[in-house]
This record gives sequence, structure tokens and C-alpha cells, in this order.
Amino acid sequence: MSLVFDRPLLSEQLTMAATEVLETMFFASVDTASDEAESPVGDRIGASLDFHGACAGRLALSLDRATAEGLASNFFGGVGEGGAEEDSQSVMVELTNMVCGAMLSHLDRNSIFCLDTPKQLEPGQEPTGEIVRDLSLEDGLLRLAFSLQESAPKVDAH
Amino acid sequence: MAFDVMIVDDSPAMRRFIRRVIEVSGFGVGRYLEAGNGEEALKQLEHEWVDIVLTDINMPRMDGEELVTEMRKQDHLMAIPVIVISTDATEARIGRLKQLGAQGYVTKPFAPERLREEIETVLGVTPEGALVGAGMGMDGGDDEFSF
Amino acid sequence: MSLSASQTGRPIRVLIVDDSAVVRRLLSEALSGQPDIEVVGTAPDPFVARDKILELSPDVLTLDIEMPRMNGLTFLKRVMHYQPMPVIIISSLGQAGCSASVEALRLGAVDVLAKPHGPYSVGELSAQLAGKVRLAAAAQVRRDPAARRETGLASLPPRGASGAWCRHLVAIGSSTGGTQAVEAVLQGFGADCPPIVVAQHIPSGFSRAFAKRLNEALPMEVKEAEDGDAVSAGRVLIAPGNFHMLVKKQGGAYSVMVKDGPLVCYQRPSVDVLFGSVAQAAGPDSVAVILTGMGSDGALGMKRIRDAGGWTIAQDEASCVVYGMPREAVKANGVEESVSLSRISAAIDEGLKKPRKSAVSSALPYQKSSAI
Repeated sequence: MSLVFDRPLLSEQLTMAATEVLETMFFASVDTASDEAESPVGDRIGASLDFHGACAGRLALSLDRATAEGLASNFFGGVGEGGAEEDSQSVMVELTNMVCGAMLSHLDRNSIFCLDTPKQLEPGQEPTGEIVRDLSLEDGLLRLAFSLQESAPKVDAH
Repeated sequence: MAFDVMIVDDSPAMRRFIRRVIEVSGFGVGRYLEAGNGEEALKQLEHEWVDIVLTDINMPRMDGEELVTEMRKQDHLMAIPVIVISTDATEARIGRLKQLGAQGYVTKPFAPERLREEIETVLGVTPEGALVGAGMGMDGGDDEFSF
Repeated sequence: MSLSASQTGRPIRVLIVDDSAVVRRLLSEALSGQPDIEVVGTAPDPFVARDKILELSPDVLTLDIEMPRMNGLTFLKRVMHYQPMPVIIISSLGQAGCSASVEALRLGAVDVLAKPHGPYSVGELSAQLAGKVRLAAAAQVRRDPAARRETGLASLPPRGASGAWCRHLVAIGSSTGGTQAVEAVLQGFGADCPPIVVAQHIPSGFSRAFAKRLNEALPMEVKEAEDGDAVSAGRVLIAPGNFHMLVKKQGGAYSVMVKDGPLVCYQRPSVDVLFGSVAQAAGPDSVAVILTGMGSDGALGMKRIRDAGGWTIAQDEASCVVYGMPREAVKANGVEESVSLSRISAAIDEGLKKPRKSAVSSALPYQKSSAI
């Protein structure tokens, strides 16, 4: 079984997965979620991850650096030996991995997906994809971008 | 009572997080051993006597499924409880890991209490050292005898 | 080879693992009066036990086989892998306890003691337990014995006609470490094994579970002996705990007698009692084997069988858990050849084919006579 490109469903699942991950693992709260708003500005870091299996695609996300450092400190309970910079990079990687895994397993509980190792986005590069969601955290904006590979049949009308 | 725990995950960040979650959950942990993949874990388990293994699935060289499979083949590792911690929450994967011999499965994201519960269930003991499902007339909890 | 506590003169250091505080206290008290034994610690469960084993490095462990949290067998497997040491199993006499104990012996535990209960006299327990601790301390315990044995043993090719045998009775005697050794020897034979009788020192109650387990694991019939059982090809008879077993010959066929009687060499069943009867009933028609174990039981019997024309084999020192009984048999000049455990079944097979050293009366070969 492969995923059907149902935009509202995917959009909702993406938001849900990200919210769940942020709240349970990073002890952060999500204020509002919206479709892509204005372009985020400032010093931001990001990561992206390819997945394959029942269907293939990519998830990318970005966050301003200060917020990422805050999440890292929540996640690890302090700053590690490698410093805040390294912590926030690894947190972006884990966040991407978990959001993607959570979303895919909620979408299709009977298939097995393989997630590649997440890669960091280049500085200044913002995530792009077929579905883009912005989540507003206490003091920053998390951008999520999700795409399915062309092989997925699209049902875009709702 | 102190448990020795092995955490198997290719992400140092995840290992750090899991360790922290166990620390705050109140279990008396003697030693934390860490491995970056199944192969490293098996190598350490050859001489390290641990009480529980927590493992990720997707890892380079030897993944979590192979690790569980290998552990179930060896007499001294056969009964060491394994809890899989993975973002993969699909029924297919959970079923397969349980079938291979993992006793517990925690899907990421998880709240700290969730991992604590799973460890309690799998080890049969609460962080306070009380037997899970106590009241069966066991007198195992009293350690005050000294001779 | 490291020196055991009994060889260095310092007390034997014992760790007691039992979930019952009452039993921990009973066992500790039972050992407290022994100047050569020191209880260095007790543990109520396998987790504490593990910590104390690594911290204290005891010489001997007593292990309750039925514990909450982790079953004793599981724990034993880990002990035998990570910190091999002599382990005495403390078990109830129930069916589950007995079969678990037999499995524990297979995994490398050296001895079994029935769990103290009811009006068990502390004096009796004390003597029994202290004796077992001293025997255990002398044992050479190797890592993962079950795994090693299964890979290390070459089994004999299946035999077509047992008519190739010139001798028709195999008698085996063993003690500490013997349940494993007996199993290893029997693994060398198929369903058509020669007639075998075994005297293994084992507490009353456990011999049946031992026979039952071997019967399930091996192709031939293995049975705890009952009085009057026929000794025949394809069958192994194990002497019941707390009874002596003797072989007799009647009308040309062998059978066993199972009898009460005084301890011989502190043992019942006694290897000397069995072997003495074999020397008399079968003499040159027999092959006798003395396996691992503490003490001297069987030495005299081996000598008598050898003198009567039987072929006698001892397990060699390197492969013994305790090289006691085989050594005494060698000293008593009762041993034809000493071979390693992995070679004993082959040595038995060769022994059975050796022409008898002296023709004895008009005894017919066993196979033919059994048809009468």
C-alpha cells in the first residue's frame, strides 16, 4: 500500500506529529500552526531527511538558532561537552527523524518505512516541499516541509 | 539494587537523552554502557554482564532486528530483556520485533513516564525496588538480613 | 589452572542467592559453624547477586532455582558465561524444581541440594551443605560447558550389527560434574546403544528427572532403574537416588536389583556397590567407566572389574570437573586407559570389541542369551 497524496490529511498529520514530538520529548509548547506564512528571517538552522519503503519522500525543517538551543537544553537537560552549537545541530537531526517517523507511522500503521540519516541544511537554505507548515513556538518559528515522490498517486481535491 | 543498562543507538544525542530519561525516572542504575550499533553492542555484551538492553532499529552495520536475533541465539544473552526504542510505530515493525524476541517497544516520541513503565514491566521491578505485581507472598524485597 | 580455595588453605567464600529470607538465614546458619567456610554475602535476587559476584568474587554460589524477577536458570547461564564458578542448586523436590535442577546441572552447576523445609534439622542440613560446598570448591568450572560440549563431541557412526561386540555390559560411575559427563558419553551412542548401567551420585528425587531429561534428549531409552529391570541393548538404567543398584545375571540375561542399604563411601547409590556386582555378574563381559567426581567411590570396583577381565576406562584429569574418583581408580591399579571426555564413547565402543582376556565358564554372548 502506498500513501495517497491527500493534502489536508498530510498537512494535519504533519502538524500533529511535530506537536507531539515537541511536547513530549522537548517539553516545548506549540502556540499556533498555519500554512506557510511570510519568509522566516534571522539566523536559522535546518535539517532534511529522505525516507523510502511503502512510499518515498522527504521531510525538512528549520528553526531559528536561539530556539533550537532552547530545545536542545530541554532535550538534554543542559549543555553538553560539545557546546550549544553542536547540541542544537544534533537536536535538529533528532527532531527531523522523530517527526518524520511519527508522521509516517500514523499515516500507515501496516507498512515498514526506512528513514535515512538526516542531513543538515546549508546556512540560509529554507525547507521547501509540497506541504509547508509553520508552527509558532514560544519564541520562534518552526518551518516544516513535506514531499512525496512522484510515484504517489495524488488526490488533491477536497 | 542497581541495574546495568546498555543503550544502543547510532545517535549520540539519542543515547544522551535516553540516559537522562532513565536517570530522572528514579531507577538505580549502576552502569550505563553505550554502543553505536548492534555489532558494537554484541562485542561489549560478550564480557559485560548487563540487565537490560535498550536499542534503536535503524543503525549502520548491524541494526536492531539483527541484534535481537543474535541475542536470542546465545545462551547467556537469550534472556536479557530488550526494549526497542524507535520512531517506527507501524504494527508490522512492532510485531516483527516482538516476534524476534524484544520484550518491550517504545515509539518515539515518548514521554519519560512511558519508558519508565516499559522498563518496570520488562524488569518486573519499580524504581523503588518493589516487585511489580507484588503481594504474591514473595519476600524478595527485604534485604535487611545480614549475617 | 588457578588454585581453588581448598588448596590454598583460606576459607571457602560462599555467596547465598535465595529470594526467601528464611532460607538465606537457614543456609547461612548451616555454614556458620564451619571453620573452613565463610559466607561472604547473601542476595535476595539475581540483580543483587550479580553485583555481589562481581564485587566479592566468591568461590562457591548457592542458587535458588525458583526466584521471582528472573528465573534461576537464566541467571545460571549468565554466571556460567560471565563469571564461571561452582554453583550448588538449592531446589524444591517438586517436579518443576527437579527438572529445573537437572537442566541446571546440564548448564554447569556442580551439585543439587533439596530445599530445606519443615522439620529439617539444622545439623543435618549443615553437614550436607558443608560437604557439598567443599566438593564444589574443588571443582574446575569451565565457561559455557553446555555449548562447548555440543560442538566438541564427535558421535560414533551408527552401528549396524551389535554382533561386533565381544562384551555386553557397560557400567558407568560418576559424581560431581557427572550428569554432564554422562550425557556427553551417551551422546556418542545411537538408539542401538550397548546395555548401560549408571551410578551417578545424585540426591533422591532428582535421579528420575535426570533420567527423564536424558530420555527426551537422546535416541536410546534412559530410565531410572526399578528393581528387576532388564539390562538390554538400547537401554540405559540410572540408579535411583538414595538406593543402591546391583547387576545380576540370571538364565544368561542381566537385570538390576535396586536396594536400600548403608552408605558406601558416603554414597547411595555407590559406584563400588554397582561395580562390585558387575565384576561378579559380568566380569570379562563388561566395560567399566569411572567419570569425574570427588572422593574414592568406584576405585575398588574398577579394580575388581579389571581383575575379573573387564575393560576399564577413566576420564582423564584435563576433562574432569573434579579429578578425584578417576585418580583413586588409577591409584588402585583399576584403570586400563585414561581418555578425555570427548573420546570416552569411542573408547567404550573399542572396549566392547576387545576380545575377552579370559574366557569365563560357559556364559553365552549376551545377545544370544537374551533371546532365551
